[in-house]
Amino acid sequence: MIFQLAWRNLWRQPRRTILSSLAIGFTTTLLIFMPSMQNGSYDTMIESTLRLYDGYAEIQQAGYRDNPEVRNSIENYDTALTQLRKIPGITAAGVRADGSAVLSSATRSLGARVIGVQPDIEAELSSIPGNIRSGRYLDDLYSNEIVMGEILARNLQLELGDNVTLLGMGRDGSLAADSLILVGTFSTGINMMDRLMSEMPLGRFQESFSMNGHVHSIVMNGKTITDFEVAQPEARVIAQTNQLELLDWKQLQPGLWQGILLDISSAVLVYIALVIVVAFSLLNSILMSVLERTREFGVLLALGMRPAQISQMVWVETLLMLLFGLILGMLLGYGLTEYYAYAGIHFEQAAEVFERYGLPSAIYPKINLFTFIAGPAVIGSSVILAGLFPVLRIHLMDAVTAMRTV
Amino acid sequence: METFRLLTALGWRNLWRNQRRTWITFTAIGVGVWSMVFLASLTNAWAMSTFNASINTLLGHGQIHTQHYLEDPGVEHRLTITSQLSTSLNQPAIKSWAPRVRVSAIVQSERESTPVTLVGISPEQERGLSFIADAITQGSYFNNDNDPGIILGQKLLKRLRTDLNKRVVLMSQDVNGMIAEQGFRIVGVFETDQKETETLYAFVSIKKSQAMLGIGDELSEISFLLNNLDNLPAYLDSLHQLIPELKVSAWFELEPFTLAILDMSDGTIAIWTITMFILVAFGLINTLLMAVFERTREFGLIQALGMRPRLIVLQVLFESVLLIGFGVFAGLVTGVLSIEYFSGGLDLGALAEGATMFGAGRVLYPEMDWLQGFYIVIFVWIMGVVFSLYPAWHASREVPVETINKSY
Repeated sequence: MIFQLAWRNLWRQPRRTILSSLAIGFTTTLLIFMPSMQNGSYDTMIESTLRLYDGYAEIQQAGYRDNPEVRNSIENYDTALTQLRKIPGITAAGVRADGSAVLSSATRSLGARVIGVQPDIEAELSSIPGNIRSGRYLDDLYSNEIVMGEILARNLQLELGDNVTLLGMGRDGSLAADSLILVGTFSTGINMMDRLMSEMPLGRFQESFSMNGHVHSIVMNGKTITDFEVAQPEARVIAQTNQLELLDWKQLQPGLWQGILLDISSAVLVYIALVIVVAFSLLNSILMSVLERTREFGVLLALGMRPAQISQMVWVETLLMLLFGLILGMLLGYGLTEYYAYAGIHFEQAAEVFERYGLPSAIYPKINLFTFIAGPAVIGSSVILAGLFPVLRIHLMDAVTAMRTV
Repeated sequence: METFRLLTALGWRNLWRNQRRTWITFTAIGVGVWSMVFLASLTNAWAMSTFNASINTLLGHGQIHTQHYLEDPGVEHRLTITSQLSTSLNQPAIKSWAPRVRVSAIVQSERESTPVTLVGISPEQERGLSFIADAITQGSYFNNDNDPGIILGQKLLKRLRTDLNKRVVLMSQDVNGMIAEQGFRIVGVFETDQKETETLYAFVSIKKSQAMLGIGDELSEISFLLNNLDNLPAYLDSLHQLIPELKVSAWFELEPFTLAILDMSDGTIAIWTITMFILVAFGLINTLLMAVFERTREFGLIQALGMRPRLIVLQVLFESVLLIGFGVFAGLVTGVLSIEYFSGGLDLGALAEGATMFGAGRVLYPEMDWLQGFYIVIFVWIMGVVFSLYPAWHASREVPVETINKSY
């Protein structure tokens, strides 16, 4: 009976009910869509940043990241590599060696970072092989070839096929010198990389830098960052058994991780303001629906209905209204998110600039259980809280005075 | 006029017939406006911080180079200060300018070596134009244009595993295409919010860098600051005419990313203001509708007494003008107060590295932008009143006879 009463009461003022439900619905839609958008943009950002070069995780000697010295190298990595490749969720694993050197052409000399890579595996670890703009990528583990960033090649005034002289410091402190042929240039869009990076075959690197077969890091990749994070603990154990350190993406790109945290915290501030505003306007409409019925409630009390039943009735009214709003908002929020997850939100004007800094120019919202449930749950509980206040008022009513109220 | 006074009085009294409702609506509008004002100022502070950091990091409001330096920043592309150039730099629009030598180099300590950008600066002219003069945390800044020392970033120092007062060797290509090598004593160490900056640059005095590269008194670039940024387009035009042989670039051509962040922050503020307004409007319409419905009898009665429907619309609108006005004003005041509270600086603390990754500083300084505040207030106020036309129109449509007879 209480349910029926509540239901009918709601439709005595259809406009108010619809407006209130719409307000809840609108907020719910926002609180599903916006977090999903953030979620999606974080994943794209993380993945596009890490795919560029770092990989989803790296294994190195402890402390190498802060202090990248040539001597801080890994000697045995074959077993670790085989073990890592067996872990489901890790799609590729390879090794790299890292050094800095002066690269000279016939006319110019510039400092650059030189990376020794396994040409066959590198394509699965970073996007550099895919970003070759002229010539080709490396193809042999021992050849005397080098690829470098477009800007670096231009600043060195190099053409494809030209000789490049490399001068650096080897692992044992000896002079590392080599003569290489430029076979390709890449353009990642990141100025720093295109200006400072070059890659050569790992085997040749190890000879030139007297690496004695050592490498500096084991790089891993997965399908998506979410998939990879499932496999990460197992990889960490492998790193530990080899007395090495696993760096996850948060350690590889600490700025990115904190940028995400910062974005989340400012968004939470925004969401709180949204929820407060909607809770207040709901409180208002529930309170008024109670006050305007003071006389009616007085009659109900006089007829023998207990205050608890009346408050139950009002409570059910609030819940029903909330339910409409939430269902509407969740449907809309889900639909909107799924639509944009498919179509993508594009920033056409800024696209070029964003790409230059390796940021994605389109966002694909990603809905998950958390982004789908969290917003509605917060709205639901704050509306329920707001609805508590008018219900308490009913308990203070006295039948006779209430009936006299106009 | 008389009618106007009457209607305002009616609207005002109607507001206080149901105080609780008025207070709640007032709070909802207030919180909405507060969030608009406060978040707008935070977003602005963020954008300004990015802008300032970018301008300070050697960018300036604009730069002058030879035609091809930017594509190929090498020692081959040099400019000299001619009389036209010095006239154009000594215009009253210019606050300060500084000459620089800027080429890529390698810095080598006893243990390590790493690529850097060698920047030769004139210490006095650079002060106030870029960050370096105020960023020295150990040692000291250069004394004169011929100072024999080098200033490195803290992070680079760690990477090179060297220290203040130790020697490092700079290697770069000189004017003849040969490798020039020169030893410098580290006289100063600088620190910045943008950790990357600390590893990018090695500063030496301008004369020493010119001598090392063998380029006489020629330069790579000139960076300048204007007294008023609004004059930038006009000043750029005058430069194009005075020194057509040189390439003059504005800050946003050199750092389009900073411009993109400024544009985006304006967009964010607009979207947020509109979203928040829609929510506030829902609550507002609902409240006014109810205020109108519970008074149907009353409206019927005053119509029967001879009040025109048009005036009833006005009466309800006045009610809404007052209600929104108070809410908006309260929101503005609390917004200004919270901005004032953080005006000493909002330290992003643990999240600072994230902020610096996107080019902002680690401390934000929110400032009240009165024009923007004014726009928000006017927007919410006017739009709010426009939305209350619906309940007002409803009130005016009550048919006197039916409503008076309506009993509860």
